[in-house]
Amino acid sequence: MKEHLKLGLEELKDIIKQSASGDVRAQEKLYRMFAPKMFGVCMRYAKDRTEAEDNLQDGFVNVFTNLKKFRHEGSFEGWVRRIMVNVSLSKYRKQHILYPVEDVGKYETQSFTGNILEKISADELINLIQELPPRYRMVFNLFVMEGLSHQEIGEAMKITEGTSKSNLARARDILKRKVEKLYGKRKTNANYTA
Amino acid sequence: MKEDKNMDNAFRDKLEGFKAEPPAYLWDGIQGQLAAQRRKKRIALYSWVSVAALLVLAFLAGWYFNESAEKQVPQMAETEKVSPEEKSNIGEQGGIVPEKDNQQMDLEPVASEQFLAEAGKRNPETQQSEEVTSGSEVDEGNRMLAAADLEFIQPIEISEIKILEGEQPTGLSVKSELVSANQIFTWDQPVMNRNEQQFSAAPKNKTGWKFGLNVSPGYSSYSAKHGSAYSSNMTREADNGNTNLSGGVSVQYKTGKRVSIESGVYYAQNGQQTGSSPQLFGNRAQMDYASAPVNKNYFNTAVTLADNRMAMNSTAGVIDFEGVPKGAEIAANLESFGSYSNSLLTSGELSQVFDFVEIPLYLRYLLFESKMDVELVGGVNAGLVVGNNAYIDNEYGVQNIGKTRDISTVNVSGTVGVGLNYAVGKNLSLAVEPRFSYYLNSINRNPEVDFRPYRVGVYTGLYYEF
Repeated sequence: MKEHLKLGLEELKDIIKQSASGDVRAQEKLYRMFAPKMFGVCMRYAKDRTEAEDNLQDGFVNVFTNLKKFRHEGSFEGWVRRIMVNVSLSKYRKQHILYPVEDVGKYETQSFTGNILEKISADELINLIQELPPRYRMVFNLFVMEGLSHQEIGEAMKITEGTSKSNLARARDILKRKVEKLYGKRKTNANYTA
Repeated sequence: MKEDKNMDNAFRDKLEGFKAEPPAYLWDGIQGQLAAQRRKKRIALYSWVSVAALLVLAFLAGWYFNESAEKQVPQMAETEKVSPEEKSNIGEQGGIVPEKDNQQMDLEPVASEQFLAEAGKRNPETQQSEEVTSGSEVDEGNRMLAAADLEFIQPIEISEIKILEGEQPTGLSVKSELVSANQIFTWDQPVMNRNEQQFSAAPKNKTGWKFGLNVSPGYSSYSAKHGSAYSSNMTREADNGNTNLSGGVSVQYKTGKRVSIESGVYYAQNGQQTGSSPQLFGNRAQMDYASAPVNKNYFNTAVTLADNRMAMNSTAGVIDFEGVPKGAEIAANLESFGSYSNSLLTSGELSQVFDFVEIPLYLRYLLFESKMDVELVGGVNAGLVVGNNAYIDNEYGVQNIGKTRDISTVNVSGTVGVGLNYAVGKNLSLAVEPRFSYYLNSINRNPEVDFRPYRVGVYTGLYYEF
């Protein structure tokens, strides 16, 4: 279960307030509570572990400097996560300013059944996502993991809705092929060992 | 479509709870970055405080020099005495001088008498009642002292005392009607509060402050015009300027993307140098060319000797000598025929140096924005003369010989320049800025002298933006 829930909401509120006023120990507590989960988020958006580490660091610096603005209304985890996504997005924007090609092609989708994924670990999946071309990775994450609409993604990434849709389809297609390849490999491996 | 959704859900389920332990050094990195941010905030705060202090200082300096400039005005009567026109009539001066001295004598005792009379008035004995007799003993003593200087002033002084004493009670009765300071404060409080709110709610645009520190090697010269009577007695008009160092601090406020306003405090030096020449230039000077050694350059000029003072016309104005410089010879013609009876001869160079504190108001316009920004600068300076010295540089070294007369304390100059700004960091930039400043008014008040210094400098400095 979520670790911070064990603490109780009031306790978390206190730690946040102490952190906001510059208490380093409280800040460390808060960091230990959320860092692993947020590192997971950053890993999905980054091309590799190093970039994820950078984004996590920048994200937490943002969290601590803006902590006074947190109003204790919505979920704190959601707020932190939004900061991480925003940091990842702005890093992407800085690195990939030029992406003029409008990609609205249709891609034939392969058949896919959810249970294939059961055989693959989350780590492996993260690797697959990291291997996606940067924009496909962003669109896939924002749509599937963050639940943003294509319109919202278009605005966030300065692309058209159509491009967003097309990129998502392409991302799905690539992921499917790769999953199947992995799955297939595992099958043959299994045959050998059996 | 449904298949897509299945896939999305499968991915989400698998990845939603995904956690990974970040490396331990990351926490140190975060703390380091936060500490750096705090430092930056502190620096920004210090910069604000120093900017505020600087503006206050600039304001005070402007106010102070303005005040002292006004105080100097009464002295003009005295300085007129040696104005060039009179100098050309040295023969008549003998008659004029004592007359003026008499006038001064007239004025001075009156002033001291009044002072003494007032001192007597403030004596507690006289304040008690209108009985002049009770205080008269003390007054008498004061009057006696005054009378020792000038007797005929006495009657005037007595009538003055009576009038002043008669006025005293009315002065006191007015006092009781004064409104207490607290009341004024309470009336103004709502207005003050409203003002405070308005000021704090000022909109924050894409504006910013820039703080700069720069120095400039420069060359200063001048344009000058002189009245004909003045110039006929003047040292050879110099063609030399001064090389010197100037510098200061500046504050810029960015009002928009391209335009910013700058102020600050700069120190600059302006002046002129008059070199020696092998010929005798002041051709009416009494010093004979023959007396000058052959292989040496000599500085030779006419001087006036009057009232135990020696004065000399030079490019930036009349120099009042504070003493006779070493290595200088003065030829005085006791029979004083013609106008140019006296002259000074020395080898070496004469220089007149003025130190300015300049408070600029510049407008900057950003022409090109890139890694190397190009800006146009233009504006005006309030140039406050804080130093005024004349030097002779001869075989005895550089000697301060005195001051230039009639120099205005507050002057106005115009400046134009082109700035090249190179960003070396996020907030820090290096700037090289050639500037040309020219005084719009003659810094000498004497109508015979029009002396306008100008200065070309390459300002090099560091700017910090916050």
